[in-house]
Amino acid sequence: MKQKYYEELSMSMYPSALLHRFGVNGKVSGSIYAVGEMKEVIPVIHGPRGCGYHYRYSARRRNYPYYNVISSEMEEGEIVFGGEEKLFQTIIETYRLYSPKLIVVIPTPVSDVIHDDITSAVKRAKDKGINVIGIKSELFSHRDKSYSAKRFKEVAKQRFGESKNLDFDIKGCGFTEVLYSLVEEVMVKTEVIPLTVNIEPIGFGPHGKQVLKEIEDTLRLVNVRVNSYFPSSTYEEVLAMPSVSLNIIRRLRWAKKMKEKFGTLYLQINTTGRYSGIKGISQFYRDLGIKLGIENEMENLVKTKETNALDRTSLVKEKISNYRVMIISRNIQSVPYLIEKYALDYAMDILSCVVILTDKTKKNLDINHSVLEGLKSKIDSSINECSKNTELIINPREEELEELSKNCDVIIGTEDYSFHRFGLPVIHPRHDTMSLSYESYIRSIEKMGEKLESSINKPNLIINKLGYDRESYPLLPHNNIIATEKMWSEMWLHRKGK
Amino acid sequence: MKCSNPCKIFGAYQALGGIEDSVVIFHSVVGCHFANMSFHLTRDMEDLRQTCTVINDRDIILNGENSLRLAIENVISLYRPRLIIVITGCVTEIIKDDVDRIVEEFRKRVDVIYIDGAGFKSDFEKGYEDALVKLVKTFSIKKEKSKKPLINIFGMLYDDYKRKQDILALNEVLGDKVDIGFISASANLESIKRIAYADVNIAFGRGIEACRFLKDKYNQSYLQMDYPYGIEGIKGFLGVIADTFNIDYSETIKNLEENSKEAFNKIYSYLNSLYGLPVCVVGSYSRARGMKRFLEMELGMEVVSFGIREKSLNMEEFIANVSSSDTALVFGSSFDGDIADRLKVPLIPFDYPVYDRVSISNTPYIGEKGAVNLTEDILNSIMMGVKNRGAFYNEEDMYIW
Repeated sequence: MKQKYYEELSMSMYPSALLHRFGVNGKVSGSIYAVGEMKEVIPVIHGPRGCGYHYRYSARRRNYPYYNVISSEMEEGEIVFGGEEKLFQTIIETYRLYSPKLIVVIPTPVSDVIHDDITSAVKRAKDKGINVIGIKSELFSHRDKSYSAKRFKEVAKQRFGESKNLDFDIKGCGFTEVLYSLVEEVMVKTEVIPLTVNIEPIGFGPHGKQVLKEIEDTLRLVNVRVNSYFPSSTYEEVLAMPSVSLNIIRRLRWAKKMKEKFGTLYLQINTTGRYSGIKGISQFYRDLGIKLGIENEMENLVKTKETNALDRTSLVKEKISNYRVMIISRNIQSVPYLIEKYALDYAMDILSCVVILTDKTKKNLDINHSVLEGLKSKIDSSINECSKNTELIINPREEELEELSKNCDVIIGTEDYSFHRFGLPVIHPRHDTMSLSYESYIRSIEKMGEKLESSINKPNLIINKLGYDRESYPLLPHNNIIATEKMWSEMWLHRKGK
Repeated sequence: MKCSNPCKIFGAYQALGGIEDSVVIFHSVVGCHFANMSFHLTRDMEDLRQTCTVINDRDIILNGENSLRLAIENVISLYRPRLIIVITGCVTEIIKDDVDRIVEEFRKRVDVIYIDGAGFKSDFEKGYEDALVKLVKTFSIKKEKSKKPLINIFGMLYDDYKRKQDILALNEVLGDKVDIGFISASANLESIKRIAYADVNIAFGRGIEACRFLKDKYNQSYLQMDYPYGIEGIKGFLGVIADTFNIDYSETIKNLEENSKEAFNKIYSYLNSLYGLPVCVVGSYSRARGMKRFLEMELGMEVVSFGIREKSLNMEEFIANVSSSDTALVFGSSFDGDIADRLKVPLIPFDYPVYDRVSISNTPYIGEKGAVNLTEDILNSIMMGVKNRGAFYNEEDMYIW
């Protein structure tokens, strides 16, 4: 296993967050990402050379491209007469040169707009004995832009402590399109092996690989075996996916399709709050126990593991509870859970919780009065239930912040290092790596204890000399940068009927 | 199959993106905008002047012309640019948006030019050439004789790994004897308008079509040469300038020889290990040739695999050939890590795109300073390579203990 902080660093070094302030990539990148996670599988992009050239780089692969991307290199002739023959020849040649176990043909806006017959080219290649599938475009060019705002509204509707599934997916996401096609076209019905699971390995936090290994080890204690990480597997493992009793998933559509086609149950784990903190970790394993029909064995395991985790961390928590903490967050929807986690799991004395909610964020996420009230009410509930002495302040003035900071020892929850200006240390959220394993719980609390002891105020950070734009943090306040961000929101996010 | 060269839209952006006070509008789907931006932002996160019309399903059915109008209006009000560059992509060319007409509607308010960047029509080189020709055709004005020797430089790219450093190095080496009027990838509208004032146009490979146009229209002489890597490369460049203007650069040449010698003295023994080393060079025409000459004639290496992107390079065949060669180092773009990784040897990126290195210090690759910097990068890459460190016959030990 790679060193976990280095792994996280290599991910954050790819400027994805910055790029997404000014644009989104075409859905082809999601498809390439999905195929690139699989072994012995090769993607063929059906489009002009530019698509085959650049999509190697921007498919969630950090700074390491996916070199094995093949392009049908459509030219003017294919635009006029159709590219089916060239695609067919490209599939044949790809198979001849690379002998992959599966070829996945990915459409582009160009093949979509000329309505190229991918299905027919794929069928001809299949008739020649080549294992190939074609991905179907749900939407043209890019994903549904309203996803984030819709999700935000659903989250706001939920009460604190309530944690039902958010039952929707990103439409037109290239990644999802590939997963769906794999279920539909590759997997075959097979005998179900009890106590086996597939896991969709996304969203397990910055040290996700380690957490997945720990989950796998924990499940083994109750004789549950992980069959595959979907789609990060071999072709054979994907083929065998319908043999499991349960899918542990984030994205819904492929799992629903597997349930419909093979009867495979699923447990969705992107619910807000249900699986956060030690309570959430135990809940995760209990839910798994129910779905797998081993409630009693799982309950025994949960009790042992939970007791051990709480024992291991009790002394550190005592130390942590001596620190007076200020939470600062620009992500209002996660604030109730931050309060819950820091108060209950880390045993922090949270003096104040500062939420920065800019007009731009409100506009971009379509946060109206009722959504905002819903979110505030959730935060109030979390304070009432978890940290009664915490003062909540939304968008404080500089003097108010300064005053609040005087009573605190440390700032957490934010990547905005400019708060060093109040003379306090700022602890980076990267050290909070609590995920769905008990080991990650212990690790995070021990790490936080260490950080609270060792962190110091750093008033001379170079990064703080650059003068970030407060409305568009962390962009520089240069006219062209801000204009480019605004252009993007005008041409995409907020464009209605223009 | 595997693509060796990007399409027209990238070439057009690299030719014109560096014009100050301009904004590029990709009249295309999001992927074209994002791709160009992802290569650009790794070079310069501050200089950002590009956007997109975000062509969607409705545009396909109706047309994308209103999207383009909206984008131009927004760009005028948000950036207040002096020049708007509209680069179309495949989809808007397929649906045949009347971009010329839309652009014409705005010409009274701001300078706007339109470049057809459809990838299915041609490659990077054609996009680069078309864009520069369109630029000089649209804006150049009749020649007035410059008082001081004046040259234009073509062939630089907006996202060259060492763009700013190389431009600075060129200016430094020319000194106050000769001025550069226009330099592609770092120009402004004034320098474009006065492009015909220069005495000679020098194309580092690319930009030759614009040079030909300027020759036809203004009788400006031009010269195509390889990118001036190395001491000899820059001496060749200065030789051309000296001959053109009858200027004596012998003192400059003496100094640059002396300065680089001082640096190389500190690593003289390492230079021995580079002599005779088999290496691979792959890149665009003038860059690859310039690099090959420097590596072979100045460092004494042997280029055993050589690939030029413009020549419809078959990547599958090229990679197979390099893999069966004795190549010890690979010189190319970041995408050529493919080859380096197969051989488990270092990649020295020098050709567009370079997205996995940053370069913010004043370390050009051009000329005698470039010779020193390139040699430094080569040696450091060898010494920092993950392979071949530690025990000689049991190198895995280093991971265990």
